[in-house]
Amino acid sequence: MTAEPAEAISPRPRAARGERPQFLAAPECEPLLAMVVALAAEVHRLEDRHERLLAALAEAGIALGPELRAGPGGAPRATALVGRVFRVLDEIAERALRGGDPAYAEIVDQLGRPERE
Amino acid sequence: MPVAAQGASAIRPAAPPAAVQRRLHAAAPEVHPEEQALLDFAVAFKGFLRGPMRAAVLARAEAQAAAGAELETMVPAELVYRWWSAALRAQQEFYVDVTAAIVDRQLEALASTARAIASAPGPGSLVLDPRVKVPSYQAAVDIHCVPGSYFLERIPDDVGPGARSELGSLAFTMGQGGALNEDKGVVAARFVKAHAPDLAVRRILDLGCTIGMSTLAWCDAFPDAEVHAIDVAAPCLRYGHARARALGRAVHFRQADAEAVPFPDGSFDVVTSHILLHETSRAALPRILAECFRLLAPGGFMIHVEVPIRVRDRAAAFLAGWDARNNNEPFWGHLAGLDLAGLCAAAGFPRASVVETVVPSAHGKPGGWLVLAARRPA
Repeated sequence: MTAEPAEAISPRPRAARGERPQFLAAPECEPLLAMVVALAAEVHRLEDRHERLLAALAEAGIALGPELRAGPGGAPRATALVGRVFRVLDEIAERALRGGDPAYAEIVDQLGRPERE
Repeated sequence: MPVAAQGASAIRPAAPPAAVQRRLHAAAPEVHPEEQALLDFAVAFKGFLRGPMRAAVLARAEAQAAAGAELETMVPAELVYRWWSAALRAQQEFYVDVTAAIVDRQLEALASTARAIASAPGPGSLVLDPRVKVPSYQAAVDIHCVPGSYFLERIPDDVGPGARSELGSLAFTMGQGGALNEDKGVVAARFVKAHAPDLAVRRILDLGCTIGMSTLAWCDAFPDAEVHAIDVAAPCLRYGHARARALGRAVHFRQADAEAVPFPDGSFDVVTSHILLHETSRAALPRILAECFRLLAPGGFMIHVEVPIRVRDRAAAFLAGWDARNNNEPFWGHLAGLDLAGLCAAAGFPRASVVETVVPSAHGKPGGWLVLAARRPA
C-alpha cells in the first residue's frame, strides 16, 4: 500500500489587507528599506552565531585572544548594530531639530570674499 | 593573536540543539537561537525608532501645532516624519513576518501539542462554536498588519495565529508587558480590588481574550474565582486553552461574540476586557457595553483596559494616532472621540459609578493604561 502524500499546507498570506501607506517621496524606496531592514537583521543573526561559536570554543578550553573573545549579549549587540546601520536616521532627526543654519552659509560666503580695503 | 588550539577534538556543543531552543511554555513555539537573534533585532530596531527620531518628530509636530498648522497635512511633509514612518512600518512588517515564519515551520507540531494538552485531563475547558460569525469589523481588517489576522486556519485544529500572537505581542511590547504579557490583566485586577473591596469575586468573564494573556492575571489575582474568557477566533482559543493549561491556570474558554454572549443574565461578578474596545466599531461598542451590564450580577464590576487614547496635546495626539492611521487600527481614532461615560450610562450603569482614568502599568510601560470602569447597582 502506498502512503497518501501529505497534503501541502497553503502558503501564508504575505500582505495585510488595506492599502499600504507610502511615506517616502519615491514609493520604490519603501520595499528597498524593507530589504535593508531584513539584511541588517541577517547581519545580526550571523554576528550572533559567530559570538555563540566563540563562546563554545572558549567553553571547550580553546584559548582565544582578546580580539576574539565573545562580546556583549544578543540584545545589546543588536542595539549597537541598529545604531550603526541606521545612523543616518539619527542624523536626519538631529537636522530636523536644529532647523536651518543660515549663519553657516554666511560664513562660507564670507570665506570667498576679498579683503575689504 | 591567533587562536591557540587546545584539544580541538573536544569542541562540541555543551548540550544537544533541542535543549538550547527556547520556548515560553509547553504549548509555545520553539525559538531557535538564530530566530531569537532576529527577534532581538526587531526589538532593538523598535527601540531605536522610539529614540531621537521620535523625539524629533514630536518636536516638529509641536512646532507645527504652535504655528497653527493642520498637523495631518504639514507633519507628513517633514522629512524626519517620512523616514520615521517608513522605518516604523518596515519594522512592523518585519517582526510580523519573523514571528509568522517561526510558527510556520512548526505549525503542525504546535497543533498536535495543543490537541494533546486539550485531550488530557487538566484545568479549565474549551468550547468552540463554528456557528459564531466573525464580526465584519474584524473580518475585514488585518489588525496590526498581520496577514490573516487572528482567524487564518490552514490545517485542522490550527493554532498558528494564536502562537504568532504570543511571540508578536512580546516583540511589540518590547517586554514592557511582563514575561507573559500579562500587564493589562494585572492592572485591571488591582483596580477592582482597590475600587470594589467589598465585592465577592466568584465568577469573572474576559471579553475578546485572544489567547488569554491578560486573562491569566485574573486567575492569579482571584485564585478562588471561576475565570471565563471568550473570543471569536478559534485558532487563538485553541492556543489559549493549551497555553493556560501549560502554565497551570484554569480558564474556561468559549468561542463567542462579545455583542451576544451565551451566558444568562447576572452570571458574573466581574466583566472585563483588555484593549478590546479599540478593535470593535462604533456600532458594536454600545451593544458590548449593554452585554456587560446584562451579564453582571447586582453589585458587579465592569472594567475595560485600553490604550491611553485621551491625549489632549495636539502634537502628542497626532503621534499617538500613528498606529490608527498606519498600522491597521481603524477604530482607535474614533474611540478617542467618544463619550465613553455616556455610553456606559446608556448601557444601564449609573453615571455616578462610571470611572475613566489613566493608571500606571504594572511593568513600567510608558503612558500607562486607560481604565473605563462602572458598577451595576447592588
